[in-house]
Amino acid sequence: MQAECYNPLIPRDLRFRMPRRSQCVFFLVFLTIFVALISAAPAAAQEWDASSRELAEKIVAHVQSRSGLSLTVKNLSSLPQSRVSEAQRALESELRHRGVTLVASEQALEQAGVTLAENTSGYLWVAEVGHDDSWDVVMVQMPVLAPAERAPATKSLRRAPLWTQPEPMLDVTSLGDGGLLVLGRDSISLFRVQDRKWQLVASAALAHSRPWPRDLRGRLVLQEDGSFRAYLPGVQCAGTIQPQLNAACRASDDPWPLSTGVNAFFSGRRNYFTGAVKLAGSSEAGNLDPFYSVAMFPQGERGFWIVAFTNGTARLINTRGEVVTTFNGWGGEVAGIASDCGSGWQALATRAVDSTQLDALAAYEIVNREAAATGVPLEFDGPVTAMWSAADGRSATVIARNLRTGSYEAFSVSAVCGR
Amino acid sequence: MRRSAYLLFAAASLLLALCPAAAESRPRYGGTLRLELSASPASLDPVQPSAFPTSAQQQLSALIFDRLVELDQRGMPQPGLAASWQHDPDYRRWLFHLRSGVLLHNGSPLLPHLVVMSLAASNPNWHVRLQGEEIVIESASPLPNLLAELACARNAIVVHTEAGTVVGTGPFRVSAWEPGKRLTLTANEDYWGGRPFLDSVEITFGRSQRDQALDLQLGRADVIEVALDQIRRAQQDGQRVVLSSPAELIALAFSDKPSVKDPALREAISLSIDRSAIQNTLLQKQGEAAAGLLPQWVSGYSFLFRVIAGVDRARQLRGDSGPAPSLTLAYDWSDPLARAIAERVSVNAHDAGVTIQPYGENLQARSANADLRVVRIPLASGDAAAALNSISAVFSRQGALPANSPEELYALDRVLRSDFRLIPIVYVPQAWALSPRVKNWVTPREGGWRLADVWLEEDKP
Repeated sequence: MQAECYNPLIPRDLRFRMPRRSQCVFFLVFLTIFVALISAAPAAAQEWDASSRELAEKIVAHVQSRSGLSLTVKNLSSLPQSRVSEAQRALESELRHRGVTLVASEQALEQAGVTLAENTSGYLWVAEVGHDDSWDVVMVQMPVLAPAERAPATKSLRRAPLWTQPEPMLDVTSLGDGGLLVLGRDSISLFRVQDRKWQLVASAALAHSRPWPRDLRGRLVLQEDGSFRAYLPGVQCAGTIQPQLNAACRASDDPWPLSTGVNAFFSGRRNYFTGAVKLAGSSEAGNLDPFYSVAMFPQGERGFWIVAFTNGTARLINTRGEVVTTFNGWGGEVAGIASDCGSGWQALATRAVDSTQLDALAAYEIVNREAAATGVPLEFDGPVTAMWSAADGRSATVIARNLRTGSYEAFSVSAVCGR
Repeated sequence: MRRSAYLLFAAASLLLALCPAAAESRPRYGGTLRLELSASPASLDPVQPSAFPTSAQQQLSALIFDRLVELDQRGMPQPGLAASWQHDPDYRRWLFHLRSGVLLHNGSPLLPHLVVMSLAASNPNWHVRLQGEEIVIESASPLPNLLAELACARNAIVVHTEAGTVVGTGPFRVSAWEPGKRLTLTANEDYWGGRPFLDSVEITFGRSQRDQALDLQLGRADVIEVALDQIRRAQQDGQRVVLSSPAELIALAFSDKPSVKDPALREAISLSIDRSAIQNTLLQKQGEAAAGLLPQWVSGYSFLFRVIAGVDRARQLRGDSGPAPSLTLAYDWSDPLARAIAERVSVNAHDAGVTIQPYGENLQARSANADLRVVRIPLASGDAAAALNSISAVFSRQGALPANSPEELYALDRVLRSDFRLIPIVYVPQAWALSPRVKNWVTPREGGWRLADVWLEEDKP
């Protein structure tokens, strides 16, 4: 399971909930950070071990004498100079380990001009070894190095990583017992921490007879009895987690749940809700225009919806069915979350960018029919592909595709009040 | 909440149309993308073993035909028509399990034997056969790089019908085709990878770059080509311009005529070419001067091939090879860049004492009269081995010369150029200008289009 290495040992949202008990806890945290810091540099250097060893062996095989070799390292790759210096130190060490005496160029009998280049397979060491008119070329291919993590910049919104995997994710739900349920394109997977690592416990295939729409969407809903339902275009799956994970899928046009008691029909071959909305206990269905998402603010008579329609508009609709206002620059994903800040309700909205661009989530307070942005938008490393309000209404599950790594990253996003 | 919701529905539909549109981020279905090209392809069949597919053929191929394997944006193999695969330890025998339920554009199922026929036709050196429902590819020499090879356009799965047409399984199906003039594609509703967001694509061929620019300006086109020397100006005019990495090699290819049989003469011509000047002036510093066959971003080693213009050495070689004949250099008359390069090559060669007369020719009615040609060789793949092996398959006199490791590729690159029958000049990117309503446009580094993911913003009222 490749994905496990991308994820923290304990989901960060669980760690945030841990109470502060004593100074002992702070000491442990400090110790952990200290150990992590002092171990980071050797870990980075280890990335070069295998390739520098292989390159050193090839260079040594082509030199006439080990007593006077000058080594120069040039960088043609996109790596920063600090990492190239690491590589150079690793190579020098490997050459010395093989009995090579490294000298300045004017004292050298032979030269090794090493270039760290880059190609579509990763990084390429290229060494030109020789002297005068006699030169050999040796090369060593190495894979792409893991990109340096960028610290998220959050002010009014906080995100806790839930899960990362190379394959697309449609929805992720944290289970009460610490497990994670991940809805993928073709399967639903259960992960748990075992032996201090996230492990795939079980996976159940999602049967479907027709090809999925290109921009596939799906939603996971946990039931009170511990079972779950997965909603996908034209398909619904019912399943259990205990005693073992299973999912039974069938073709279905039944509506998807938007909020308690509010359901909406989803197109079986597209990426949007058709606009038909059904209320629990009613045989009637209301009609909106087709929409991508809706943020609901259940405040009784003062309630309102913000709907992101497929025609590119995001509109505030009041309880009388009036379009109160249209918001500019909002993307197709909106969700409502409750918090202890401001009015107690915030609308989250993506940017109006396409999937080739970096996305961000902004939080808005609805004041006097206007959306007032609160705090700094929460930046993501790629487009947000899914956002659903969580069952508790106080957070939203956000899935973004990281354009640097290609992986899909799921977060739990909630509002943080300024103190 | 429920009573509020009832009220909400009552008037919402009527009132929604009152406000202007704003923006959107999730892909929208519908619309026709209008694309213009200067090329005039006569065939949609990408599988032509004896000739290198043009950029246009490669691009069109990806819309209509699928391959067993695709490379993702990081160059990693992903399942295409093949759902899974396995190979023996020495990579001589591969087994591919086909994706089930795939339909050809004519509605008939894609049967395994059709895949076998298609691959066998484009790869005479492979032994392709059926084993039950699975496809077996075997070769006398190891094929460690087979997955990247299968992702090339020339390995598209093309089914020839009795009517003499070609049918594919790709995201778009052909609804109208006038060779060299116009192509209309419609979305494949049953595409295994999900129906494209666009309803259709209209491609007009043979449009001059000037006409294309005018059509974009007047809203008659959504995607046009941009000449490399016009990129800066287009950007200054506020146009949305996207570029690939250097993705097409412009080179000189020599004929077998006796007039150019002397390698010293060919080397002299190669040495006379001032590639840096071509890159700086004709290309306005786009692309890269080419001494090897692959661009640096693909090979990683191309910097080792120094771009050297040596007129003195060229003159010396010229003098050693006897009296120089007057040579003819052909270029595609519809390609302004090829013409400019041909003229520059002629001037450079003159400085070395070689007389070269450039002339334009119609690519479709090409004659065998020219001594040498300006050729455009699109990257067959972002994978170095697949890209170089594709060049080798067409231009090598010894047939395909398999190479896989960087050192083997470096050696093959040198071998392919050692007789100076193929002289690299520059690597150029593909450049496109897009109308504002085009969304999700991704330009792969190796060039081409990913139109199945493109969507169009709704026209504003």
